[in-house]
Amino acid sequence: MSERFEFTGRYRNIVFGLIGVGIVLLLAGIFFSDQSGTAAHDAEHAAVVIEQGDVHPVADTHGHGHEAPTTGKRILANVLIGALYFMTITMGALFFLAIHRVGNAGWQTAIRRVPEAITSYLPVAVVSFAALFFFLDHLFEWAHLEPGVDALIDEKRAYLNEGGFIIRNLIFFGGWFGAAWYLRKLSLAQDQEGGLFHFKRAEVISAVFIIFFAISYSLFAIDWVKSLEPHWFSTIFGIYIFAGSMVSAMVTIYLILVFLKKQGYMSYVNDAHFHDIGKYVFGFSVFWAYIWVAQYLLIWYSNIPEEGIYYVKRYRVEDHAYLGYSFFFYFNVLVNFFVPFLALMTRNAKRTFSVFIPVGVILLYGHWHDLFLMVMPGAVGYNPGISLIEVGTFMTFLGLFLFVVFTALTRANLVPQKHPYLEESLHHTTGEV
Amino acid sequence: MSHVRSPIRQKWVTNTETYGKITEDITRPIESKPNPIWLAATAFSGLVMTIGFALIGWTMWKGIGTWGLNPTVGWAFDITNFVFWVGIGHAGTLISAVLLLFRQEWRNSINRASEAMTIFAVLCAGLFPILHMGRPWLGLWFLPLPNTRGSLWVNFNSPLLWDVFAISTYLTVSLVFWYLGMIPDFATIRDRMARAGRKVAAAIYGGMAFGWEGSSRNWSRFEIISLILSGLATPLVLSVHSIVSMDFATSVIPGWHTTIFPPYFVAGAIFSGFGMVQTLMIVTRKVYKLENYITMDHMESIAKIVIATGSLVGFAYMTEFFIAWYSGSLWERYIFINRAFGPFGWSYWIMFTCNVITPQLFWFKKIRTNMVITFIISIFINVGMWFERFVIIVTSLHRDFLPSSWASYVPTWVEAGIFIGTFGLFMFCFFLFSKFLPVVNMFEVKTLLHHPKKPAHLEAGESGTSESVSA
Amino acid sequence: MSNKQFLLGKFWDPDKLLEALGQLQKDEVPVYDVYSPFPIHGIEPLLNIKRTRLTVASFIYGAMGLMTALLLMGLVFGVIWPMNIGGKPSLAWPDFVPISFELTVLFAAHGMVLTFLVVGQYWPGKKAVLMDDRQTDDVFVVAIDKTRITDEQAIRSVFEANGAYEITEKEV
Repeated sequence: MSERFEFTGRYRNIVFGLIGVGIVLLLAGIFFSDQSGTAAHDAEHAAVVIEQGDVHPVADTHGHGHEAPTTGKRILANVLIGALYFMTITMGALFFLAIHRVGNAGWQTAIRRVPEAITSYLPVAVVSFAALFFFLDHLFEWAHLEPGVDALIDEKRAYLNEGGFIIRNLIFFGGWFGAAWYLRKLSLAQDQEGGLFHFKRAEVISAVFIIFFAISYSLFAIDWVKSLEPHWFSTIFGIYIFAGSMVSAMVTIYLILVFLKKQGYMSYVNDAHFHDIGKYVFGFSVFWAYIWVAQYLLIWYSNIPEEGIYYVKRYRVEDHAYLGYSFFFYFNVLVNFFVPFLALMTRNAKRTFSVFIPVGVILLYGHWHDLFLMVMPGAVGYNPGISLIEVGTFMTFLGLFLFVVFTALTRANLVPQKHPYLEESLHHTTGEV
Repeated sequence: MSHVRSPIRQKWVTNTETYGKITEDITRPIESKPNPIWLAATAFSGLVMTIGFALIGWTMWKGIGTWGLNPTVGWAFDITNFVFWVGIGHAGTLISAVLLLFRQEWRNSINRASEAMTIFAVLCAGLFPILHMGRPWLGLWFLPLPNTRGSLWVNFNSPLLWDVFAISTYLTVSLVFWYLGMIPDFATIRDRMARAGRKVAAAIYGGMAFGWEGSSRNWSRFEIISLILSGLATPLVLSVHSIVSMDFATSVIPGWHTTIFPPYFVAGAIFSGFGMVQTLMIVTRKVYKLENYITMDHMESIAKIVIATGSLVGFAYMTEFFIAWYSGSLWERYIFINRAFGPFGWSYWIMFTCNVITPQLFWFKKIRTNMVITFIISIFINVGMWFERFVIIVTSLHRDFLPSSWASYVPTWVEAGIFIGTFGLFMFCFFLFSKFLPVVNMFEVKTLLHHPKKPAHLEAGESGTSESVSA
Repeated sequence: MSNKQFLLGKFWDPDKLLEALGQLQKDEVPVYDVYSPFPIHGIEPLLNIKRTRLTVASFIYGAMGLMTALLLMGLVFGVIWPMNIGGKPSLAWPDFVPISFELTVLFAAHGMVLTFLVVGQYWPGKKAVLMDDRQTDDVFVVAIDKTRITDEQAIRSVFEANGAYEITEKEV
C-alpha cells in the first residue's frame, strides 16, 4: 500500500496567496492604525489621571516608564501570538505521536503521517521565536526595566533575565526538535525496513520526550506568556497552555485529514478514525474548561490582589482597571467550551464533517482568541481590537504553516507501511457507540 | 474495538482456552468452602475494625478533644485520612471508566476489584469529615433541605459543602457502576449454582442478578450505558478530587492556595489508588491463583501508570516549589522552605522519597516483573501518599501568620487508632467481597479470549449439565 | 409470559454463530434473539437492533440535574436567604460550578440506570427465563420463534452447516 500527497499548483498558489495577502494586510494595518494607537493611549492617560494614587493596573501594565502602546508593540505582540499559536499546535501533534506510542495505541497508525507532517513545522516555529529574542525588551517588562525599579521583578531576576531566557529556550527548542526529528526518522525508516527495532526505539524516545516535555513546556509557557505580566503567578499555567495546545492540535489533524480525504487521498481512513479524533477534541475542550475553572475559581475565590489583578484587567467593565477585554473574556469561554461541548456531544456530530468543520474552525479561532487574551493585556495594555494587523499577521503565519506541513506531507508515503499496528488501524471501528 | 489484533500484542488471558474455564476459575472461591487463612484474615481485620469503631464511639462520647488538634493546627489526622482514602478511591473509577474509554483491554480483569476498592475506600473516607463535625448526629444539616431552624440554609459557597455533593455523587455512581457490571456475572453464578443443585445460593445470586438472561438486545443496551456511565464517571472522578483540593486551595493559606491543586490532587489520587491496586492485586492473584487473568503484563501496565502518575506528582511538587520562589512572596517562599527543612521536614522527605524516587524504579523491567519488590514499592507509595496529605495539611497550618500562634501537632492514640481501624474496615469489606462476589469481571474477560476451544462438557457428549461444581 | 415454542441453535464459538446469523439474515428469517455469556461485537446489524436512545434520556436527566442545581442555589441565595459571604455577591456564579456539575452527573447517571432497569424490565429477584442453563457460561444460543417461520428445515440446515453443536426446541 502506497500513496503520496501531491502539493499541486492550485493549492500552492492559495498558500502563497495567504502569505502575500497577510503581509499586505499587515502593512495596510500599520498604515491605518497609527492614529488609533495614539487615541487609545490618550484614553489610557485619562484613566490614569482620574484614578491617580490608586494601585493601578494600567500603570502596572506598562511598567514605571509608562510608554505608549505603539503600533510596533502591537505587531510584536501579534508575532508572539502567531508564533505561539503554531508552536502549540506543533507541540500538540508531537505529544500526540509520543503518547500514542507509549500507550501502544493501534488505531492512529493510519493517520500518523499527518501529525508527523505537522511536527515538521517545528524549525520554522523555532525561527519565529528566535526572531523575538531580539525584541525581548520591547515585549517584556522585566527585560525592559532596570534593576532597582521594581522590587518584585528584582526578586525574580535570577530566572527572568535575558541571558537565561534565551539559553533555556534554546535548550527546550533543541530538545523538541531533536525528538521530532528523530521520531520522524524512525517512522520513515520503519517504512523501509520493517521489523520492530525502530518501533521499540520510538517507544523509549517518546517516554523520555514526554518527561522533558512536561518540564520544558511549562517553563516555556511561563517564559513567553506568564512573564508578560511578571508580578502575577499561577502554578497551573503550563497545564492551561497544554490544554489549549491539545484542542487545537486535534482540530488541525482532523481538518487536514478532511482536506486529504476530499482530495481523494487516504480512502482507508474511516468514520471511526474521525470519531476518535473528534472525541479527543471534545475531551480536551472539556479539559481546557476544567483547567480554566480551576485557575479562575481559585483566584476569584481567595481574592488576593496580587493574583486577582490578572483577571481584573481582563473583565472589569466600569472602573479604572478597564482595558476593554471584558467581552473577550466571556467570549473566550463561549467559543472554547460551550460551543464544542454542546455541538460535539453526540456521536454523529464527531463523524459528520458538515457539523465538525464549523465547530473546528470556531475552536481554532478560540485558541487564537485565548492566546490574544493572555498576551495582549500584558504586552500592549489596552485592547487594540482585532483589525488588519491581527488578521494579516495570522494569515502570514497560517500560510507559512500550511506550506511547511503540506510540503512535509509530500515527502513521505501517506501510509506508514510495515508499521506493526497498521492492520489494526485499517480495520478500526468504534463499534456501535 | 478493532477486530484485527496485531500479532505483537500480548495476550491478556493466558493458558485458558475455553469460556467455561474462565467461569470455573473465577467462581471457585465463591463455590468452595472458606479457607482458614481467609477466615483468620477476615477475623483479624474485623477485630481491627471493631477497635476502630470503639474509638469512634469514644470520640463521640468525649468529643474531638480526644484528638491532638489545637487552635492553630485545626485540621490534621482526620482530614489527612479523609484525603488519603478518597484518593485511593480514584483508581477504581479510573480503571473502569477512563481505561474503558481508551479501550485498554487490560482493564477488563482488574476493574471489578478496583471498583470494590474504590467503594470501600470512599466509605472509610466518609467517616472522617462526619466525625470531625463533633456532633455527627447533626450531619443531616449538611443537606440543603427546607427546615424549621429559622430556615437555615447551607452555604453553597463553601468547598466543604461541594465535597458533600461530590463525595455522595461519587459514592453512589461508583456503586451503581460496580453493581451494574456485576449483574451478568451474578447470572452466571446463579446458573452454576442451580446446575450444582445449591438452591439457596442460586436464589440469592438469582435475586441479585435482576433476571439477567444475556440476550443480545439487553447486551446492546448494557454496553451503551456502560460507556455513557464511563463518560460521566470520567469527569466525575476528576471533579471529586479537584473539589477535595479546593477545600484547601480556596483558602488564603500559603502552601494551600495554589492553582495547580486540582489537577495535582487528581494525579496524586490516581497514583495512590494504583499503589493500593498493586498491593491488593499482588495478593489476590496469588491467593486465588488468578495468574492467568491478572498476568505479569497486567502488573507491568499498572507499574507503568504508577511511573507516569508518580512523575506527574513529582512534577507538581517542583512546580509548587518553583512558583513559590517565582512569586516573590515572602510567605509563599517561607512555607516551602519550612516544609522541606522545618520541624516537619522529615515528613516532607518521606513523602518525596516514597512518591517521586521509588516509583522511578519501575523503569526497569526486572523490577516491574518482580512481585516481591513491586509489593514493597507499592507499600512505599501508600505510605508516601499518606504523608503527602499530612505534609500539605500540617506544615501549612503549624506556622501561622502570627508567630505567637505557631504550634506543633502530635496525634493522640485515639486518632491513630481510628485511622488503623479504617484499615480494618477497608480490609474486612475487601475480604468479604473477595469471598462472595466474583473478583474478576467474568464476562469482560471472556471477550478477550479469541478463538476458543470446544467446551469440555461437549467433548464428553453431554449437554446442559454441569461438570464438577462442588456442592 | 405467553408460552411460545422456540427453535434453538446452540453454538460454542461466537464467530460461527455470527456466520449463521449472517446466513439467516440473508434468508430473511426472523430471529427472536441471541443469548450469549458476553456481548458479541458486530451482532447488532445482524439482528436489526436499533441504537438505544438511552443516551438521549441521559442528556435530558443531566439537563434536569443542572436545572435543579441552579434553581436550588439561585432560589436559596438569590431569593430566600441572600447573604454576604466574604464580600462576594449573593449569586456568586463561579461557586455554583462544582455543585451544578455534580448534580448534573448525579441525575444523568442514576436517571439513565433507572431507565435502563425499567425499559429492560429488571428488578431484584426477577426470575430469568433461560433457553439453556449454560447460556450465561459458555454457550451461545440463537432462538427463533416457531410461529413466525415457514421453512424450519432450512433453518436447521443453516445451523448445522455453521457448526451448531445442538439444535433443539423449547417451550418457554
